[in-house]
Amino acid sequence: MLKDLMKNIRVAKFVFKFCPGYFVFSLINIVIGAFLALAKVKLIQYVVKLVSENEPFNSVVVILAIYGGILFVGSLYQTIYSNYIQRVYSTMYVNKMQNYLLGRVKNVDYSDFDNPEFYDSYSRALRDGTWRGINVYENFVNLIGSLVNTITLGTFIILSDYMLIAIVLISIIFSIIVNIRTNKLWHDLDFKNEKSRRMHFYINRVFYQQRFAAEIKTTPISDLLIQRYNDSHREMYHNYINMQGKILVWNTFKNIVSYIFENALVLLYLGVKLFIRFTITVGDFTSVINATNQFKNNVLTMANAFNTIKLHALYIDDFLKYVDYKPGLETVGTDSVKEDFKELNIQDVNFTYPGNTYRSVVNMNLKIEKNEKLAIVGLNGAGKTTLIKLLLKFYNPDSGKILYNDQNVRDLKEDEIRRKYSIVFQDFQIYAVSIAENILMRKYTEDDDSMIWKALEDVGLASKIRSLPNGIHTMVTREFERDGMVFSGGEKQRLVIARILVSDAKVCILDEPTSSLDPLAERNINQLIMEKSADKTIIIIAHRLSTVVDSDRIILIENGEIVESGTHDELMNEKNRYYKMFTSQASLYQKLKES
Amino acid sequence: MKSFKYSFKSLIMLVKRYPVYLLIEAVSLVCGIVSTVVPVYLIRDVVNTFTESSFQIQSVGHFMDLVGYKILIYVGIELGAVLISLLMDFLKSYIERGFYVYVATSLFKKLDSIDYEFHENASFLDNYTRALENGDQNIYNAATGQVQLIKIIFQSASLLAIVFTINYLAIVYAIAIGIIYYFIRIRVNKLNFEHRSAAMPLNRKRNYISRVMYVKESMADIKTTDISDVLLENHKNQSDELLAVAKGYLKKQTLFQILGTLAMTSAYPVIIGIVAYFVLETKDLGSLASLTLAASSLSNLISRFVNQITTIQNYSLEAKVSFDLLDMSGKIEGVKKQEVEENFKKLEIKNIEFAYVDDRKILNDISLYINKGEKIAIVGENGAGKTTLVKLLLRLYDVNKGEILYNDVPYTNLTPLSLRKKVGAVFQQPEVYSVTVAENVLLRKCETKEDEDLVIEALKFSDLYDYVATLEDGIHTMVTREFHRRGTIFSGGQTQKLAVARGYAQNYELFVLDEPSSALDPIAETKMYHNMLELGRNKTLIFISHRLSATVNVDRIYLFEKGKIVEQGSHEELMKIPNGKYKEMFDSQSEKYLRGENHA
Repeated sequence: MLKDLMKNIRVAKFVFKFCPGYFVFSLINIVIGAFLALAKVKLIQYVVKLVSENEPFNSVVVILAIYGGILFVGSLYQTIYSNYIQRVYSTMYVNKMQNYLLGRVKNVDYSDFDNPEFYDSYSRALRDGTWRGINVYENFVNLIGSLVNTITLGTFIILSDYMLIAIVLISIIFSIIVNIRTNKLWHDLDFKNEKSRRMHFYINRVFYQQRFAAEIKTTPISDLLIQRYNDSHREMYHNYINMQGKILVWNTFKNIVSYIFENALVLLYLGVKLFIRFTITVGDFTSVINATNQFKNNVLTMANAFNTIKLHALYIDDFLKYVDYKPGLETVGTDSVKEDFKELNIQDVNFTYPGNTYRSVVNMNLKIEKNEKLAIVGLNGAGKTTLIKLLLKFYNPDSGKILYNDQNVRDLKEDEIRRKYSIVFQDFQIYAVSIAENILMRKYTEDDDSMIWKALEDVGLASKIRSLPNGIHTMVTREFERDGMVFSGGEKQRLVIARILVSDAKVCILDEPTSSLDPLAERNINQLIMEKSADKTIIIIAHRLSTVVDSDRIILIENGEIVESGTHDELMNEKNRYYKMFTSQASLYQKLKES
Repeated sequence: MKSFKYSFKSLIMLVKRYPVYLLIEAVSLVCGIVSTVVPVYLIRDVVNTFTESSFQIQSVGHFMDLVGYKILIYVGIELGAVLISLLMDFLKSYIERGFYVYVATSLFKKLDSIDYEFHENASFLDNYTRALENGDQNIYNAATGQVQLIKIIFQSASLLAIVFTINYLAIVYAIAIGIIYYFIRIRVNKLNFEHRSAAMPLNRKRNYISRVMYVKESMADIKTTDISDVLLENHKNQSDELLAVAKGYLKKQTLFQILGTLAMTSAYPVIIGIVAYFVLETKDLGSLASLTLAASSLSNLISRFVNQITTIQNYSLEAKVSFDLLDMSGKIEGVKKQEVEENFKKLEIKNIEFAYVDDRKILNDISLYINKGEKIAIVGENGAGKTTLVKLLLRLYDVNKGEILYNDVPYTNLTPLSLRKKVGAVFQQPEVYSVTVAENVLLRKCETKEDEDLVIEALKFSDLYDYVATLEDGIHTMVTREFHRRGTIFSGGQTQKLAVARGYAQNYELFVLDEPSSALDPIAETKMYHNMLELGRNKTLIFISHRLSATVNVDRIYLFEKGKIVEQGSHEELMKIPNGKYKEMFDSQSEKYLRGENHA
């Protein structure tokens, strides 16, 4: 329990950080709540006393007016607190927390994203962590509030008769035990039904996401999925009914005990005091019953609040893990890049992805000179993209080293070394920001104008964009704006190539840069890239060997090793793997031999 | 008031399915009244007995006879009511879960009657998502909410009746307050709704930004560029706007709520005052005592009543989304017409024109045909209308002009379901499902030996079997890790192969392949096409691509440009056209390969 409490406190601290002054308002609310609870009970006592003693009505009016005034002022504050103060602070919290969490994303090691457990936990942290803090805080406030009320009311009752507290407490303790039991049952149910719930969410997603729509309508997959849904629900249903049955039994016991003690015994006890001993007045009788009721409710609220602390604790772990995250790889590099690019030297590099059994890069040795046009080819899974990721310091090699000029990449600051490359990834992303920002991949300044337009001319998008009312400041995608720009597949690819053209990085890495383009466009863009990169080093990965035929050097990677290296003509003469790949592709452009 | 239409509809839906529900709630209602009213009577009885006969009681036994046993009986009755109520809640839980499944299944099945065009409509998708995610609960809650309201009304009425027997003025005051409070809440709800509507687009934008920033696919860009600065700033701007909007609405709401508070807080003291005044005359102390209890229950009930109306309104609005969906009918989907002929002979497309909703014509006067056993290719640049054609071939849309004929029967005369058993497609980005490999291929349960053999044959056709055979459970391995730690994950290329296997297993008469090799490496691509052309000798195939792989070997090629067919014929015929577009495209792709040939 203590550990859970600590976790909750850590999260609640963020509320203090992001919502200055909230706690003061909450405290005032708590004090007012206790005051009002007591005032109500006292009121009953006085009014009934005055009436039973035949006092003039005026004195009753005075009491009621005073009480009315207190009640109004107190409720006024409570109304403002729950409708305005609470809601504003909770919005503020979500805003700041989300920004805080997203700001830390940059620091997460790339390699951790390959780990599905980490990724799941990280996603949960970001989704859940945004709002849970405010609930944790409010739970604490409820807890303190009901505690204060309990003490206030409890004192009132004890001053009248301490036996009452004893009677009531027995039943309250029993209620709390039952509540803990039933909460555990709910939690166990949640746990048992986790799988069925995931199935439900999964099937929901398949039905409502646009990407599955065509297949759902044109194939029988929907029937299979509905069958699966029904199967998983049957299981969930049994668990649920089972649990409800147990809860019924527990609640029955709880109510029986509660009514015997809190209702019957309390009334009888008070009744005896009233009728036989004359130790209390009618006013006391009425008000103590009222107070007992409120007392009970507050104790139960407190118990619930403790339970909620436990519940929150279950979900907080992911959040705390993320907040405490320290990058492993990322803090290793501390040196700055000293000189402009002259050469890249890959020496005896070996690398295995964490969790894999086979090596993705095996004893690789490669030197890349300035202004070289290098092509990397190989089958899927050969290790081409892995090599790129090592150059970008997304991972560190297990052995061997990569030297940028004469500095070991391992020692260099990550941000700096990565900015030395401009990259077009195979699965590139377009963002819902302006066209200019999509090309620059940073904030826009006016000085960038001519550079952007030149690049757009080069890739053949200039006239289309010139016709847009907001030009290069038009938002890309129609995600939020009706007049956002939606690009076709080929246009997106051109946009992404424009990124390279505006970058002043000296080394360009292109991973399948023309896969979405039709043959003519592909040829034009390939030509463009070659033209514009006279003073740059190009590393290009391609499936379609027609792209690489004119490169200065081609290396063929198979199972993580460089198995062939040379110009196109040299490799063709070797009549080995490259030759086989090339002729196989070429055969597609020739008639099938009649068999 | 209009929103009650949907809560009423929900109730009818619930009762139709589970008529016993009404009985359960009736019992629950009676119990509710009993547990509200009994404590009030109890206090009154005790206090009155005290004022009338207190001096006569000397022993505990006498006390029990006079008052004690009465107390026990009252408490017993109340306890009984509470326990029966609990039992009713338990019975309701059977109904609740069963009803959820019923609604969810109805929503899923509804998709069979909804035309494809709605799936590309953002607001339909929003609504469908909402319906699927919470539709079952919303309809149930709207239905039960109505019943709850009735229960509260009855409980309040019974309390009011008691108060009325004490003093009618108090009632008048209570009702007046209730009405004032009600109107204030209506205003507040309206503001709430406006607030939510204003916040929704801002929320959506902000959610997009945060999703983009944390998702795996963006990591490479985030680490190698400064795009995250732009995104974070946009995020902050959205947040600030959301806060400003919230403050605006909340200020107004709070003002109204304060008025409501004024009304409600006056209720308790004023009612007590009114009754106290009259009790001073009548000496009916018991009434005063019981009223203190009744009055606070009553003000509680008034606010519960008003809140319940709000709750019902909210659930009704949400339930409306589900009902609107359930009431939709399709122009294409679910409309029964002729069944398709067993044997495919030919497909003809005659002078079709098609545009999506926003006017720009995608296809303009297209005509083509394919006979059984032929292989044709449709090529052209991106955005030329090729994928749209696929959708029309599968009758996801109907053409605006012209017609498509299957064995001389127009598509519009054919039941879509039966047509799609004969005409199938591999779409551009095929999906895998979180079911087994075999189920992914067959798209139904894999139960018999014949089923298994078919799966293996299909996987061999698409060159995926060698890989699947190495998996722990073979063709019964679960795909994706959604439900199974060691489920297998297919790469892009393997997914494409799976989709081709699927098409083979479904045994389509006419099989359309839209960019089937985009994720495959050269060797795999070559193998796939050779496979299809050789092993699929008896199959009728349509290849769609922006690349010219294997067009050399098909029977006929159609070159699309901006929605029109600009060239058609076999490869040889097209190559003979001087300055032909196809020739230009083919040469630009193949020159690098074939010049090598010439050198060797």
